[in-house]
Amino acid sequence: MFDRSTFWPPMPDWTQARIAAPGIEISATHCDRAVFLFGGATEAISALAAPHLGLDGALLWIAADRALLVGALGTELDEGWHASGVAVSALQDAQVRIDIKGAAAAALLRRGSLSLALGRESAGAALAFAGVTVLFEQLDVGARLHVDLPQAAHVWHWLLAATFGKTEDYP
Amino acid sequence: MTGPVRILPQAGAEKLAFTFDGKPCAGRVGDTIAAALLANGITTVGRSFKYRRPRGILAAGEDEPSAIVDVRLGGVLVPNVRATMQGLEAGMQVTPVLGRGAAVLTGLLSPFIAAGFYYKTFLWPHWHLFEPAIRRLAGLGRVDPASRMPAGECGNLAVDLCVVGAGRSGLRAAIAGARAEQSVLVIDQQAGPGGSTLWRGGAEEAGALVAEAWALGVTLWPASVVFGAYDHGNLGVLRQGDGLSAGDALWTVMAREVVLATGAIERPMLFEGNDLPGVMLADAVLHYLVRHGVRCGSCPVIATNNDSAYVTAIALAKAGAAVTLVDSRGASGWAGEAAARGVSVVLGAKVAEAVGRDTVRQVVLSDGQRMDCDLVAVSGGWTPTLHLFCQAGGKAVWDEARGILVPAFAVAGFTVTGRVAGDWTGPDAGLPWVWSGTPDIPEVGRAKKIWVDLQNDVTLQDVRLAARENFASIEHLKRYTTLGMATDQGKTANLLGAAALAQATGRKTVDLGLTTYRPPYVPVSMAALAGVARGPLQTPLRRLAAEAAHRASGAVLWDYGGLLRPAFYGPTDSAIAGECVAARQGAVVFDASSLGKVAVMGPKAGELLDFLFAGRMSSLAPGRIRYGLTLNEAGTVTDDGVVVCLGPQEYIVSCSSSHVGAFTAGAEEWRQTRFGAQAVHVQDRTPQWATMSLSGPQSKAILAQLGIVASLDDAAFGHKSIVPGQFGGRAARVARVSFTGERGYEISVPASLAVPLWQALVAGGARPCGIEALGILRAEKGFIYVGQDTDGQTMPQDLGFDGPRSKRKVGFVGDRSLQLPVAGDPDRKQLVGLARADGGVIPAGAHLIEIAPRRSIGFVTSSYHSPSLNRGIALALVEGGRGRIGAEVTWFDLGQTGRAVVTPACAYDPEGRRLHV
Repeated sequence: MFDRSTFWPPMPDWTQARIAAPGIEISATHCDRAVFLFGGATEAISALAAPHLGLDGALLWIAADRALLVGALGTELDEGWHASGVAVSALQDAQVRIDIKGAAAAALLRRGSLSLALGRESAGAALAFAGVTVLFEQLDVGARLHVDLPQAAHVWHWLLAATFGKTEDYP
Repeated sequence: MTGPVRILPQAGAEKLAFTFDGKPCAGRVGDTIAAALLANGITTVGRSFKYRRPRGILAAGEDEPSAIVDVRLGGVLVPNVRATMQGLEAGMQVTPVLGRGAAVLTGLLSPFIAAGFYYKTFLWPHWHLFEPAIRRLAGLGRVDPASRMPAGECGNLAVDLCVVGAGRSGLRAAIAGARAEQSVLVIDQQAGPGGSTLWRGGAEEAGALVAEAWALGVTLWPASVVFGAYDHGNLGVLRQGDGLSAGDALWTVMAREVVLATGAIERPMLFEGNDLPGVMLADAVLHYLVRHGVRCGSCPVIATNNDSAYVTAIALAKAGAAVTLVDSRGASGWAGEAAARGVSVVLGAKVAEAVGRDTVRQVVLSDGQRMDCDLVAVSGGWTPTLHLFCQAGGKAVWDEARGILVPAFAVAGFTVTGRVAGDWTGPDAGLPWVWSGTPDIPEVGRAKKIWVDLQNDVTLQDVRLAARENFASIEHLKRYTTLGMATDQGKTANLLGAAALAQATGRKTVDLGLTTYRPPYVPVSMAALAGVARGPLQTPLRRLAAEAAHRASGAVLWDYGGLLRPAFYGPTDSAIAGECVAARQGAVVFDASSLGKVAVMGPKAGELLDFLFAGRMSSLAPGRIRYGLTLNEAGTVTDDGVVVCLGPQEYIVSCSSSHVGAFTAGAEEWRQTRFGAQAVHVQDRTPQWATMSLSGPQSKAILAQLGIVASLDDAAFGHKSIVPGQFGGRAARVARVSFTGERGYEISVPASLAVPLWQALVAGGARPCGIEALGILRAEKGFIYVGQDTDGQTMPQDLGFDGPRSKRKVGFVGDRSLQLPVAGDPDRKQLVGLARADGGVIPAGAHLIEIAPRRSIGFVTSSYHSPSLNRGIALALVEGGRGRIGAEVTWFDLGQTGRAVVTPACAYDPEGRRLHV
């Protein structure tokens, strides 16, 4: 049987994953912050999430009835069905956070996503980047992508290729 | 007669050495490959596609049909390069894409291989018998497997205004936009802005416009082509890199407004021998003369039906050529001016034939007069380049009075300006301009020697043959003759073909219309389309959280349904049998993390699941698990899986790995449309959890060592139940389910603990098991893979689940279809097993056949050698299968046949005792 183990490069070790090039700094982190998926009415989600937003927390809207709460929690939050009609799922391990910073970050982000090239006029954080759906979080310097763990390797390898201009022999 | 020669060497221009067909040549910086070839006196640059006739350079831009070459540079072979668009670089090895090859043979056969020849001739015994040889003869260019085609840096850009074409009209539009404080992008296919003013006069004005545009902050992309106009102002742009080795780059530009200033394409003229090298478009001849200092002939004949070619004639005369201009019209306002500049003007005559062997040597006029020449420059009128306008939803119609195409109606967001809009005023004002000319289709002469489409070798005879055989619509003509289907997309041929068909069928060109303009306007290489997304980036393959551990365990990985998963563990696939045996005798661990973990929560969670599944789920007690099938509205099985009840308002659906997205989307649709947004929610938690499936008689002992759950006592923790646990200090879940038929536990932990869990289970004595072994183990038990062991008609009762059809009263997806008469047909294909008397393996995919009458009664869906049973096992869908159990059937596969006995699907432990060992 043809072995594809070498064709597909290994999944990065997220504790070590870094990309550095002139004007670009990219880092990745896996499950170092609480991440919860909310489903329910817009107002109910906002109300339920508000007390739990820590200092660096953010509520990333996926749709009008769906949002991802990221960041350190202000208070504890239970999974499951809440009386306000909001369903909560913990997804801390499901997400890889990729921070892209530097003078060339904006150009790299535009390259990966037509939505980002257009400018961020949507309230929704979900967009296509490098061929997969990610959640986009604007930072003061650069941006943060929240990527499902199974697809994070693809995004990471795309960033490597786009940064260094080649698809093989990653540095 | 000298043929093409460079008469105006550019002072100080660097010489570039290159080869053509192995012969050393020299060009200059700024040359295209085509200009350099002409400067070296090379007129024949390849052979035609079908008849292998010698072909030269016709045009100077993207409309070139013949000058297609392979270029090797720096060890990389780039096939199918359009010589008129690619800049010359030192060291290029240029070769024609089509050499002489079987020219003699095809020349002799040419009378017999007219349009439709393939369809009529290669019917017996079978097309596929001839196909390989025909494909070898056909095709353009060569792919060098050792070469990696380069690709430039692709990207996306949003602007207020995108102007396509940097000629005078385009630059004016750009400046107007910039003055209105719009962000403006101008895209032009030439290396610099200015459009045709660069060789038709007006370069100074263009230069001033360019300077103003720069000052206003207009962005210019030279050497770029908009190849497609898509919805919402999205444009596909191909940007040439800085040299061939840099590769082309694909960009997506989204513009609020698009101005098309794409100009017009000159049409050839139809006469015998019009495909000879040395027959060129008049505007191209002017381009090569002014832009590259190459005079394409010393003794040219200019054939025209409009005024535009007079400029070429006058310029050639000024460059020292002995020019004769043949104007099919009886008069022209330019005739006197041309005569005064030394051009011999013949009015009211046409070129009837070009004569020559490998290049044109003589023309014969319609009055029989013969003239020696080394160049025939033709202008049969102009066709506005409305391709992008049409791609954007517009329509081009033929204006019979003006002899041009014009936009039929406006398209929101798109504006046309300049020649593409039919505005023929130009910098050469001062004399009347009649640029348009109705295509002149010869009624006499040898039509098989008159070429309409040079790249696909379509002749006037082919068009007339199509008309005689009643392929009388323009779309049928295209498909029957391949007119306009080559890589030039018939830019110089389509309108002539339409006019020829109109003449052949006694209609007007306006009534025929044109074929649909579709992207891409120019060929786009696969390398450019892929950009960086090649090799491992070609598809966003999903990964398992424990991939590193699998690699460390020696896994051979394979992409299964968009997931990179271990096929088996070991250097060779002989490990598969060992993994199967270990599962039956000891214990194996399989990474089942990709199985769905879709949470369904809320007061109506059970109700939603009852509706989604063919079996009732709301009756599940907390901690219990039930197997179920999901159907579509046709009653067809779409997936199978287990539902886990975590509490009265919370369930987890563990669907098949590759069906997670489809199940979640389907559940979401029904949730929103039937159950109310506030009563139940569906959330895919699959990536959050890593699940390791521990299976085999030793599984209980291994799991007990890890202490994940407090008790593994079968009385409290029976089959199809789930208990909470702890692993690595975090919450875990352990479910007793089995896909192998052995005692089994699925241990789910947060994904970040996937590697430690895997390592602990392997260290505890479980042998790693890949998906190949799992496929055998489940087939031994008769467990299905939906999609492999089912087809687009399989219903639950075909798999042995009669309950949904015969008992269940509550409505669910697909229930009504299960009550249709066809659902009760006793001859439906049913899942059964098969066994050969000799213990051999039946090929997967083999058909099961009846001899009289000979027909298929089913097919083998899965087939393996079972290491546990030491014989072949197979699953099959067979008409009335369960009624045939014990009977023999004949299988057939690629000419092989054999006999097999129909058995129950389950070949191993039908009583299910192994679940409790």
